Amino acid sequence: QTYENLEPRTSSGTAVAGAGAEGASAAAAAGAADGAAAEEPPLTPEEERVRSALVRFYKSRSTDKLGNVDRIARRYRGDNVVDLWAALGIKYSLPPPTAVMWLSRTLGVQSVVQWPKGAVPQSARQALQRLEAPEAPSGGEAAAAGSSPPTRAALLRAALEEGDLDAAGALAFREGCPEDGLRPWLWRAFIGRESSSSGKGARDDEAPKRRAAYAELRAQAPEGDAGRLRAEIEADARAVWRGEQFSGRPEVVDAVVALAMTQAQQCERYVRGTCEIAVLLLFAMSGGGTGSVADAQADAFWCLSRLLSEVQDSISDDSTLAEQARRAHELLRVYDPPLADLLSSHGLNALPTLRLGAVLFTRCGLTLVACVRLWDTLLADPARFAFCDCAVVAMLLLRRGDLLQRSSISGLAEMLLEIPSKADVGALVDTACAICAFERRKGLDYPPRPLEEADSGAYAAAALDQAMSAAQTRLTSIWGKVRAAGAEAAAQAPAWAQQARATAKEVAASAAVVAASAADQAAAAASAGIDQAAAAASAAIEAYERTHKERAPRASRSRAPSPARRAPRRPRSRKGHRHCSWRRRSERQGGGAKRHGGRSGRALGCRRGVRSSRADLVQDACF
Amino acid sequence: MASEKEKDQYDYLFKFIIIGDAGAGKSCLLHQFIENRYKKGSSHTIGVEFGSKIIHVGGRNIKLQIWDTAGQERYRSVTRSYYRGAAGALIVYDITNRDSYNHLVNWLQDARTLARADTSIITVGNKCDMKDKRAVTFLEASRCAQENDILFLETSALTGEGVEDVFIKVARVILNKIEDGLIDPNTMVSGTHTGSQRIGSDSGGEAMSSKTCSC
Repeated sequence: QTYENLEPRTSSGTAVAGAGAEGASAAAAAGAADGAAAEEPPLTPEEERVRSALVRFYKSRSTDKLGNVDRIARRYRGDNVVDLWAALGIKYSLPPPTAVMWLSRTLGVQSVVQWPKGAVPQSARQALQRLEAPEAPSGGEAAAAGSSPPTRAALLRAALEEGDLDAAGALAFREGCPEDGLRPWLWRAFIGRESSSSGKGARDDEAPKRRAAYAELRAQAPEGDAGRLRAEIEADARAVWRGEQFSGRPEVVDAVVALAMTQAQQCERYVRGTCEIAVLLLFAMSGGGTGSVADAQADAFWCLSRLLSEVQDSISDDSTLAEQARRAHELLRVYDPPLADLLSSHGLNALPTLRLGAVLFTRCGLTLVACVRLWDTLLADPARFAFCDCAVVAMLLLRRGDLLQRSSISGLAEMLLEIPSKADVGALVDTACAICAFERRKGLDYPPRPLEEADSGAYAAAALDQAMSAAQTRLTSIWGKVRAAGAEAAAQAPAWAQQARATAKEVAASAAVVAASAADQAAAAASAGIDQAAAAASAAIEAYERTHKERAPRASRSRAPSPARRAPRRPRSRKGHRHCSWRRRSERQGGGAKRHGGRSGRALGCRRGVRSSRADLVQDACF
Repeated sequence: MASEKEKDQYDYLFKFIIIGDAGAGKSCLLHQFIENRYKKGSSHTIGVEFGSKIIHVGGRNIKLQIWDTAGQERYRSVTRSYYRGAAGALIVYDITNRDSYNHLVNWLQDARTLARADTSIITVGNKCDMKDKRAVTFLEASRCAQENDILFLETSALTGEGVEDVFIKVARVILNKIEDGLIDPNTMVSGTHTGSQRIGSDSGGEAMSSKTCSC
């Protein structure tokens, strides 16, 4: 479904208003059964616009929500309409261009999209509310006259008088400046916002002072290669805004040359795009070309010098332009992935920004009137030219159907470059405002954001993942919390696993070192122990042998029991001690000693006993 | 409106590509050809630029779709895709910069391998208004072009000298090839198309604008 294949709008708000009549009967039929609805106050025009759009939307979706449209329209009026289409976008999986289209048609006067929700200045909100509220009657005939709300021009003039640029910005952002005669003051106020401490900009009563200052600057003698510079500027002044009747007027060309020359001498360089901006400023400051160009010159120079000091990098610096192109393409990738992919596949990522948004849209092919209208919004934006990205993407969305159908790269490029010349500036601003609304509303989960360097498949997966994540975040169930914790754990798992592996390696390494050290110590201790034990055993043997030698003669005389005999006995089998058993038998038989050839059985038994004791000593020392 | 449309109709559509070292003046050349004025303070091209213009050659209206590529090495992968299907190629060098002339052979090789073997190629020595800083003589560049069987001209994007001649010369060569039957204008890969076919099949963009460059 392409953007322009949906029902085309004719002008700001009229398409939806017209469709409202169509949907009204359906909604009335559906809502008639609802008795409570009759007690509700009538819908405001803005609520009616939302309701009509909802009726059409729900009818196209074949849902049973038609009975709730009044309630939904009341709930999502004003700024909340952004939340409405974000929620519907998620629920019905709307492609972002479709949601942008619906939102652009339902943004009302009270929808403040240039500030984040909750950060709208009080004065801005009040100024918009006064547009719909009837003025307090002041008695008599004035009471009858005051029953209608004040006009936007009156409110804008009052805001400028008070120097309330928030209120002026709120009144001018969506709909632009309502009167050509008011625009010079409005633009001076917005352009001089940074330099004016009072916020009142350059007032009309200060015009003589500005003219005198400009005349003084022009009178200064040109320095250096002024002749060549003048020739170059004159060539530019004749070439810019080709086809526009205003820019072809001789006095306009002269004024543009004078402005650009003065500006170049002040800045000591001629900034590319000066002539384009100068023509636009002259057109605006002369009341849309109807006033005196000569009188408008000083105001135009005042604005030009301040504007160029603010934006000259963004219109001439390579790196800044490249960054703008990257940013706009990323925004397009969010709002129209197929178109972004198509441009990427042809290497045309930067072309929309560099050609459509060139020199703040003064070179792209818009008419002077259309460009002035777009500048009303650009200058009223508190984010200051950040709206340019939204406008570039809006231009592409407005012709996305044609662009996507182009088979050849050259055809695509030509179609892209001719968008501004055929664009309806009202639709362009509305679409850009809708994109701006989605972008600056914090906390919206719509449209889904693609991952960096993602292809279309990965983008779909990422969008699905984001939608799932958003849905689960909204759940208050324990499962939602568990999943969130699980997701967090899963996300951290690789880091943890790596950490665990590193720790395990460290522990294993230290354990190995400790074990090796312990083994060394044990081996050394064992070696020392063996030596000591061997020494002790040798000493014991020697001592025993000395003792045995000393006692042997006495033992043969007194038959005293040998030391080995007194030592604790171990269980021994009879078989292993045949000589002992033999001795016991011989003792039972009597006088058996003689059969041993003079050696007593005691002596045999003791020798065997000495060997056992020696082995036991060595064995005990080792273990 | 009808006369406007008739004025914008064309008999043939040729795809051109402009290549060459960074700083040789490719974008200024294109801007001078499309807008008839010098592009002061021109910055490096980011990726590619595009322009189109209808010229009158040999009794025919010929629409040129011209792709101006970035000369910087970092955009080389992007710009290589634009060679395909180009009927004409302009290899631009700076006559005051010897290196840009020395790299001519590389650009020629790229054009012959990435475009078509029969792509009409012209070597353009730009900045010929800066004669006192000349580093490449006319004779030397002319001989080189002759050896490589390609066209050669010197231009000045600043003054506009020779700029239109470059495009007309290449367009005439391509037109001759079509009339001799060497190129079939109905095949997409040839880089040429007949006007009636384009207008009928791809209404809108191609046939509606005669000048679409404001780079």
